Amino acid sequence: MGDSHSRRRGILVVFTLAVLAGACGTELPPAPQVRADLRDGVTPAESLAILSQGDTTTASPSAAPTSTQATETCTIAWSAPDTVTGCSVPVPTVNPTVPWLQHSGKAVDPGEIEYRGPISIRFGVPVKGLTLTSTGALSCTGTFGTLIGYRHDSVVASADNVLTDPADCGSDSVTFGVTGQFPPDRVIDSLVIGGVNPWTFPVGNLTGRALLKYTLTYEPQSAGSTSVVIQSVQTANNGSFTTLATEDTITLTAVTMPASLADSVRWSVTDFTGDQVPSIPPDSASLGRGATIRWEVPKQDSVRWHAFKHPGSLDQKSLAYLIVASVTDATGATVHSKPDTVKQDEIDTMREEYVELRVTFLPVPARSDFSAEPHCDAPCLNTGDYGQAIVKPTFSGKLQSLRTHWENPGKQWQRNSLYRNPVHQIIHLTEEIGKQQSRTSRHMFGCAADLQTFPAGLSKSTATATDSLHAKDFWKGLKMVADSAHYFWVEPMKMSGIGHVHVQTATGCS
Amino acid sequence: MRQKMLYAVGLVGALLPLSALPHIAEAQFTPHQVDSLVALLDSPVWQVRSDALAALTSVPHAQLPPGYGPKVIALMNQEALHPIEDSTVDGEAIGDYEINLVSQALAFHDPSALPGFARLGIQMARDVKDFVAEQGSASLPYLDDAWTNLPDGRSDIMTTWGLMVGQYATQITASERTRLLGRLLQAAESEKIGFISAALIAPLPAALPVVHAIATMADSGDVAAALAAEAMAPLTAHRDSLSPTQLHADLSDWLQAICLNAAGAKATACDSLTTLLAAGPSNGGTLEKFETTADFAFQDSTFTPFEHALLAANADSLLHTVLTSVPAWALGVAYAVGDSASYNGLYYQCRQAHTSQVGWEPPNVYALWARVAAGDTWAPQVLYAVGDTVLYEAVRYTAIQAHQSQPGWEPPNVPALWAPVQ
Repeated sequence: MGDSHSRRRGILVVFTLAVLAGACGTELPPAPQVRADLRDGVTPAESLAILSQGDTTTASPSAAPTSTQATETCTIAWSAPDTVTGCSVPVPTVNPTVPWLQHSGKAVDPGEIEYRGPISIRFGVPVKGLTLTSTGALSCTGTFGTLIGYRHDSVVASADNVLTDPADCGSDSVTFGVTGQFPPDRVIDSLVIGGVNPWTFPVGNLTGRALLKYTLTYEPQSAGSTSVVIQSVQTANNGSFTTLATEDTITLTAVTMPASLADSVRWSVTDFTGDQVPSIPPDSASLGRGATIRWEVPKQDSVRWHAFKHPGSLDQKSLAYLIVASVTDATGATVHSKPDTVKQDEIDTMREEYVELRVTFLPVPARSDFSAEPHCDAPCLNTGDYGQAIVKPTFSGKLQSLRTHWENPGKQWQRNSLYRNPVHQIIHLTEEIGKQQSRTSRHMFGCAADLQTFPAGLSKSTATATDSLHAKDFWKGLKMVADSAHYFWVEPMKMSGIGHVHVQTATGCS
Repeated sequence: MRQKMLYAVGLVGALLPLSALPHIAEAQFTPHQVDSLVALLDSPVWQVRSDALAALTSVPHAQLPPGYGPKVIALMNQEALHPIEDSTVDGEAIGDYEINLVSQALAFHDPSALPGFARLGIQMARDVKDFVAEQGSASLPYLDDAWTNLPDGRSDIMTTWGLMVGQYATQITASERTRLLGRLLQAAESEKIGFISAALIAPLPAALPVVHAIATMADSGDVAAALAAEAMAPLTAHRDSLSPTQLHADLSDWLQAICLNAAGAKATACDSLTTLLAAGPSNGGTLEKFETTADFAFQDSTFTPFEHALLAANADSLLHTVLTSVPAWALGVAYAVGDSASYNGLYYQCRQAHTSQVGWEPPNVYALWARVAAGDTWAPQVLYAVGDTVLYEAVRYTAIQAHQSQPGWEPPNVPALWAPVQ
């Protein structure tokens, strides 16, 4: 046995003349993307209970799942990427995908890829009885890698790998592989394999590199019982959505065990009660059944936007839904998935304002129209409610050019505001000023700006005639220069007052 | 409470039909929806008209019904003549509506929109001013109406006039051009920015002295003074590119404008100036008298400061151009009557044909040469005509006999030639 391993090792240990060095960072498994909810007979309180429990939860103790199948042992191996054998669970998500389940201190063989970083495996279902083996070559002197197991993103198990056959080390101090395992009943849902040390090492007068090709075996924790896991929640905007007809479809996919229950998956989509937004859910009767369903986010009640003042928080604005998948097995036991959630991000929350407040005179801004810009009190660019704003390059460039033409001794420049989100423009300013504000303002599209006139802050009771005259001249002068750009449209003084010059585009907004 | 909220977001009452329309990002409007929107332009509620119009701005022209253009133009004319008065809304809300209205109307390039453009549109965009100016004579009554009714829009009206007398001069008659130049100058005092804008946009290089005056006036304010100062460089460059003939024609135009409908002393001064200017662009003597006459008419308050600045400074500028081209007196030259020559920094005009020789230098032979461009102050060897005015020891005199001045004939010494001006 030892001889045969030595022969394989002799082939796999490759010599290089270079002195090799490297350092790699560590990487935790990605955080889950979603949370969950209920309808279909599940109350909000129950849904929170589901959230705090495992991935597979029975609706009541009397409906506990029963074992219906023999224990399965699953295997994933370096030699068969994207494949799981021996069981019917989903193929785990392995990162990196190339190389698949391999560590290499240096690419030497044809097709070999140097990779020294952590290997992350997300199983998709809870598993137990994990065992790792490897073939290849490594130094007998050093460390032999680690296994770290996670459950709900918390570390629940860890182990240092050991040499598969220490006796194989011999005089060259090189051997063929490592093994590692967790306690048989330790349930995990993801795993990180840490690398060995050293990655390169002397072999006689030459330099060898570590090469570890892994095979993992494990048992699905729920093997033999019924389970359902939400595998993906897909939206138009890579995790976000709006109620715009082209962006309101959300696709849900679940994996069941046994697979034969896939067509019977029932779905619950309800308002996520962990925030302050009353998101109107879809009609439960319309959701349909099956491992994959699509549903449309219903039109919302725009009155909700009056519930908060400037600037408010996303917790008050972003639509969010709790999603739960359920199946009932042959025994009549109903099993729920771990709840998942889908929630609008900041940009789609802003875009939702355009849809719900029917700011329709220009297309709803694309996500790419927004860029990070802290909101603030005037004078500044973004006087809206969010940390994002629309700054259109053409308008912005023309405004900068106007500033360049204007800003000379005797002529001050101050831009009071440029971008305002619809709720701030239509609701907040109306309440603040006490007059209904424009619903067709191009401030909402980043194509309008208010430019301060000087002397500033004139009041009818205290302004001298000379001050008023000079402020009017300032207004007319700035407007004259804006006119000369052949680009801006200016609101007449009667509308804007002499306190500022309002410039904007008239057609389009770019 | 809920109703109040609905009002705040603009979905109340008559606006509800709009909520049935798709978002632009979702779908194109159907022909039926477009027709519905166009029909909403007849709504008695201006916010409904505003929302409908805003939605229609996204519809390609080819998809708009045939009657849309006339309808929008009629609506704009109506809104311009009967401005929306609504104290419950912010002015910018009305402004947004009216900008949409004007920009939509402008797209049809229809002169029937002139009433609305003159009252409203020219205050909003340079493109509207160009369209109105391009319509030339047809626009003038509407601009006159706007001038009377919209004091806040006068600087825009002046800018439009500037375009008319400059870039679109072929679209108006000569007499209309004269009238517009006169009105620009008349309004310069109260609408400094408007005058600067018109002078730049035309451009009007002869307006340079007025712009200079605005730049240096104590009550101009920072912005007017700064803009005037900045306008001087391009106007100077433009003036310097003109020939004496062009400068003379320009000055003649402005003189006509200033003298339009003049009466009394102003008419008298205008007659004198017109006669002097008729001598042509290269007659240094008459140009100098033109300048002197303008100076004295200003001192008499016959001309306003801006009228005087424009006439005197441009005459001086033209005179300078003429004089700098005068050749130096030289020996052996056959001089004809009217020829000019400079000698020791002074300028002379030949009175008798002769060939120059030593001893006949201009200051030595009054019979051969008369001095020109001597300024307001009495000087010897000048040919004075009846009515010419000079200053001598701070007293103004008028010539009562034509003569050539010489030492000893200073005005107080020769009552037969000069009479003090009372």
